[in-house]
Amino acid sequence: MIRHLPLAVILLLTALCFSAGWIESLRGIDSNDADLSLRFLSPSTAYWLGTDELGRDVFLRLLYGGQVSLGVALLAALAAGTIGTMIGMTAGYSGGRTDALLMRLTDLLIALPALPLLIILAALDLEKLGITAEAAHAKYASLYKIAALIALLSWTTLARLARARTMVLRQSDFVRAARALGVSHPRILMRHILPNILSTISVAVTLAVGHIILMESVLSFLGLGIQPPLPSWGNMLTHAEDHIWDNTRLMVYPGMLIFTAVLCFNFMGDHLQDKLDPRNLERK
Amino acid sequence: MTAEALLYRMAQALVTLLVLSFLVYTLIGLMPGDPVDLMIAGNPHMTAEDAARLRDLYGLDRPLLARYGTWLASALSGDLGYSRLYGLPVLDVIFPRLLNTLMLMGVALGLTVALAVPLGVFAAVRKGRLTDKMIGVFCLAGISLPAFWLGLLLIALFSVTLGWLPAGAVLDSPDVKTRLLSMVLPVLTLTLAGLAIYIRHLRSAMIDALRADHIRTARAKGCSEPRVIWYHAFRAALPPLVTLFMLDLGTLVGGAMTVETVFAWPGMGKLMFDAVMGNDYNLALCGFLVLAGCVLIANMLADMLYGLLDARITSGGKA
Repeated sequence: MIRHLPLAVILLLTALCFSAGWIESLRGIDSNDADLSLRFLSPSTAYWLGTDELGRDVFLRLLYGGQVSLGVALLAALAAGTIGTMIGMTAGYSGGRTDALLMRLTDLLIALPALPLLIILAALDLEKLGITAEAAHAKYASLYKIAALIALLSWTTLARLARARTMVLRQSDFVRAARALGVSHPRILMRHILPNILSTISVAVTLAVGHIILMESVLSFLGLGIQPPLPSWGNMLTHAEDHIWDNTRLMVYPGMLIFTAVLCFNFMGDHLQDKLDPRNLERK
Repeated sequence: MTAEALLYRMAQALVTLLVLSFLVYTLIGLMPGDPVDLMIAGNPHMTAEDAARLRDLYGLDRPLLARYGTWLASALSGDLGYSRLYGLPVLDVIFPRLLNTLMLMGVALGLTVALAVPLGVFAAVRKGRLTDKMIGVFCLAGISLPAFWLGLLLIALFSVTLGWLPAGAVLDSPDVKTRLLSMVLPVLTLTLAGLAIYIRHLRSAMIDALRADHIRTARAKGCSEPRVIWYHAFRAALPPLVTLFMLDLGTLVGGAMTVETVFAWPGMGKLMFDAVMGNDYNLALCGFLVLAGCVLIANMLADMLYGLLDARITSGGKA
């Protein structure tokens, strides 16, 4: 029973976050409506978790922040999973020079201090990259940017896993049989190898989601990630930090949610990993 | 590790740094504005002609590769340029910060290992029992906790509520006690945040080590249990651990960065952050290269240490 609790919590949290618009209309409060006369209100029936430094409803902002934080994490994890699987499968299947080159690249990226690099990357001017000013300053631009950057730095573990599994499968009888039958390399990769490594990959992606939520929260907390007024759990903590002496409460909620979400994803990932680990089969 | 292999690794690290410097140089060029823009912002009397002349003077209108070539040539001759934010040569800015970061990370790392070794080994020995499960839950919580939030919570508890400890670093205070007290919270945060990963690595390495045949032999010949665990198994568990720890170093630097920002600790992390925020691109570039260089050196050390710890690698099959 307890094993399914994390999944239930995640589903519940996601459902709650994505019904934010509905809850907002039901309660008749606009979550972006700043009213300085309503700053730092304590929790009440009107404002369930009180109000923040601009008099906005904290509960609704947490829900909208959850949409962004969870959305970025899922988007980036899926992207990282796709990049990692493709690079890992290519390296593992072709071997030789391609393998050596791709793995050197992976090793380099793993060894680099990721956060300083992310900070530099996050400060890049999108307009200098040839993106129109309009798109660069759109409301959701920072969301896609952060998801892309994090995906770009998080595929390495997945690539290593995919490579290791592909190298084993490449030698297996069914792959050799397929090749003897004249099946093309891309088709062998997609139809014969990919389905067999998908379980391993999905576990790693689950664990990556937790990790990515943390990365996004750090970047947004530092002011380089999701840009206000778009809320995320990370950037809500930036403002809460300024008020830690007088309104400690504001700092607790977003952190609790980050912690809960990451904990659930890590728990699910660990659990799946244990189930897939052949060394754990001997005692069952 | 032979001298030849060592030289090869060093050459490899140098090439890596060179490639990195070019990549980051290019990236920095993609940040908003250029140095002349910042001068214009600081001096309202400057005309467009002045700006064009300055761009010409500093070579900012030249192609990227040419600019990088000039930068590299002067960097190799030891001139890394000035920091715009501090008005000092970048190395003079970076060096004291690097020492501060190394001090913070060193103390935290020492404490982490001192706590992680007994806990990790204990969990591995009692695998599957209640103590192991409790340590497991602690670790799961530990890796799920955002380090900066943990720092904020500790500030809320020890500085705001209890008023026992300062919330920020006061490293320039003449009073030793104040300086030491201001170190407590950052060190505690880093230790608690890093502990879980280390315990997990240690536990799984120890479990693998305890499964090996030579452990059964040691037990069969009547070795005492502590000797089996600490001498036979722990030694066998060390080599993979060293690699894992060193590979994590990049992550660790990142962790230190966020904690530095929360506690206003004057280290590399805070410096990088301030440099990027203050458009001090030269400082950001050099800071990143110094950090990357440190991590690469640590990886090299790990390889050498691995050789020392695992006789099968050093002897090269001669044994």
